[in-house]
Amino acid sequence: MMMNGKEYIESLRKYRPTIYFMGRKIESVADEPMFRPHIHAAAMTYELAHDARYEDIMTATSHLTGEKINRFTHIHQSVDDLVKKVRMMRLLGQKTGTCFQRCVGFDALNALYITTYDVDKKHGTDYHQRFVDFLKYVQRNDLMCVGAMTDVKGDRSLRPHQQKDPDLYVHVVERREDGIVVRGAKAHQTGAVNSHEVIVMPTRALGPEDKDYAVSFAVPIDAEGLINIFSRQTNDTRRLDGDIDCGNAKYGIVGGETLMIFNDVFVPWERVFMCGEYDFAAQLVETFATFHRQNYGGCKVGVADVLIGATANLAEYNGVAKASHIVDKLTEMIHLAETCWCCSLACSYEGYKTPSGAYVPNPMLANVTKLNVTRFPYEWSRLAQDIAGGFVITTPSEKDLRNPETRELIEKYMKGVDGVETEHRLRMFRLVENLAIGAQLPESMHGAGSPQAQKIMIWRRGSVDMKKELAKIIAGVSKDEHFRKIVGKSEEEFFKEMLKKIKNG
Amino acid sequence: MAVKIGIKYCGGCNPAFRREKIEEILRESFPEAHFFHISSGDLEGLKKADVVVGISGCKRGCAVESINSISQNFDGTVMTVMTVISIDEERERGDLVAQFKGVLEELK
Ligand SMILES: Cc1cc2nc3c(=O)[nH]c(=O)nc-3n(C[C@H](O)[C@H](O)[C@H](O)COP(=O)(O)OP(=O)(O)OC[C@H]3O[C@@H](n4cnc5c(N)ncnc54)[C@H](O)[C@@H]3O)c2cc1C
Ligand code: SF4
Repeated sequence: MMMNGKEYIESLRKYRPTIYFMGRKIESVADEPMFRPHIHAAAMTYELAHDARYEDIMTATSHLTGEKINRFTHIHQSVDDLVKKVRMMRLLGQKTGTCFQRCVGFDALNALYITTYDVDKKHGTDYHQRFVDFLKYVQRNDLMCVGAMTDVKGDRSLRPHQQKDPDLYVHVVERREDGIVVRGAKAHQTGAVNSHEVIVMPTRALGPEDKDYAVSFAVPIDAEGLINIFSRQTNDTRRLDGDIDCGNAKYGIVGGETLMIFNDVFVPWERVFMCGEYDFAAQLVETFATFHRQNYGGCKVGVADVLIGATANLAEYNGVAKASHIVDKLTEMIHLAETCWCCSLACSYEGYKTPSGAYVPNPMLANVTKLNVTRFPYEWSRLAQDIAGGFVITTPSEKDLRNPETRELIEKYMKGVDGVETEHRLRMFRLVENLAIGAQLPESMHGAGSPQAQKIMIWRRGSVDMKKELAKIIAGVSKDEHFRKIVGKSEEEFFKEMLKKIKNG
Repeated sequence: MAVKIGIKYCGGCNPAFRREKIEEILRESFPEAHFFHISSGDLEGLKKADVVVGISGCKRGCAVESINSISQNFDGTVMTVMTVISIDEERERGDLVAQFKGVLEELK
């Protein structure tokens, strides 16, 4: 059953997760005003699946049941599916102006589908079937899953088993007949408070001594022992002050992340998808990373579309829209955003089939996509700040706009061009502040992995030996078989004859 | 009669390994077989082959797509398509030869 936006929000009431924020225990996720914007953004992933104008990319047909499902629970069956995925990301970025959170779990589903198949082939285990059963449950109930990969990691220079405190990476502390018990913590968990399920994966390549850390599983968000501490964001409590100052009151900013603690959480075997197969940790991490890095030229570009629109509006409201440098800067913003879009499309079109039958994007190009997204949003945000002017960070508050003592003064002195309401101008400043100054930027930097993680993958897949050989052929160090065919003789002979001819005139 | 092996290469836009290596290994390991190249759209070539080897330079596997695009016009004769889509430095030469032997066995 595919839920719509409203039904999704209602579905959260069936869960009783343990969540803390600002020194309080949160009683009802669905009613918590600090969470609501993030919930609305996630609800958009449900709502658009029911809109005839968007359902073509928002839905898919399950290869397991033949039923129509929300694309966020689908396993990519073709290159077309990979392309539709990034189209969906851009669309949702445009509709929410922020992170809609559901992709991390979506990517975890696809990465595990592929990896459990390969693990079983090598080790004779039955993880894939367990995973498929879980996947059917997710598809049938249209669930939102957290993709929990990033461990808290303690001392980054040490491997998991070398840490002074063994719990700094999630690990198995007990193996029972009916399941396992896990302990540890995951950081930056996007959309966790408003998800139904949590899918856990290891965060790095592992060796034999790290066997207990090679663990993947799924638990409901309200599993016993699972604790989420919701993170603060810059200016977060502005959302309690009204609907102007936070810039995007309806959908928030970034995903709403948590510190997720597994305080001896029990996982039944049917929900365990890796337990000790450390030789597949790197594959799982890389496959997940490929899927997640594919997204960033989609979702971030959708958000950039909103920022470009907001900046262009402000240029109009400020009376500078026709100035040539403003047009040039807006054009530059568009160029940067579309470049990232090209990357997402390219890695999708260059995707391929894995032994499991599921498709994966081209890993090299997916990493290039994300590496560009660690850079270009900083530049398009700089341009937005330039065009917007200083009010982007010095606009009076909504409360002062509403205060009868100051309202008229603000209306008069914050006015831009004639014909545009002052309040609209203030709203636009706040939106640019939200999109070009706030948490979106470090999210572009670190979400789906810090730049160095992409550089490592790019270097590994860069086929430098092939490139060295290409250079040797061109430089005349190695033989060039095609040149020989074109000129009908060896390079040595060709150049010897040529020089002779030149000499003889 | 010598088994006829048709080789179809992908377009080679950005291969991750030297694709010719596959052909060299197969030619060395199966000297009694008759090898020839199938060009794009070459339905006759495809029909002639007992085994078609698609050699792609990366996991995108374009050689397979190319074979499929030829064989869509092709009805009748059963052929075995061996698609080598993931060979790179990691894969042992021995794996390739064993895989190919398996295909030849099936053919018998
Ligand atoms: C908004 C947001 C949302 C996110 N959502 C999710 C999510 O839903 N699920 C999830 O699992 N993760 C999520 N992440 C986590 C993200 O993948 C990590 O932030 C990222 O991998 C970096 O890890 P870190 O934050 O621990 O930083 P660190 O690992 O501490 O990195 C900081 C710097 O140290 C460098 N560094 C780290 N380790 C080493 C080392 N061993 N040697 C040399 N240099 C090193 C890095 O390259 C980087 O430059 C999210 C992050 C953000 C910011
Ligand atoms: S940052 Fe983008 S890819 Fe990641 S969860 Fe948010 S919307 Fe999805």
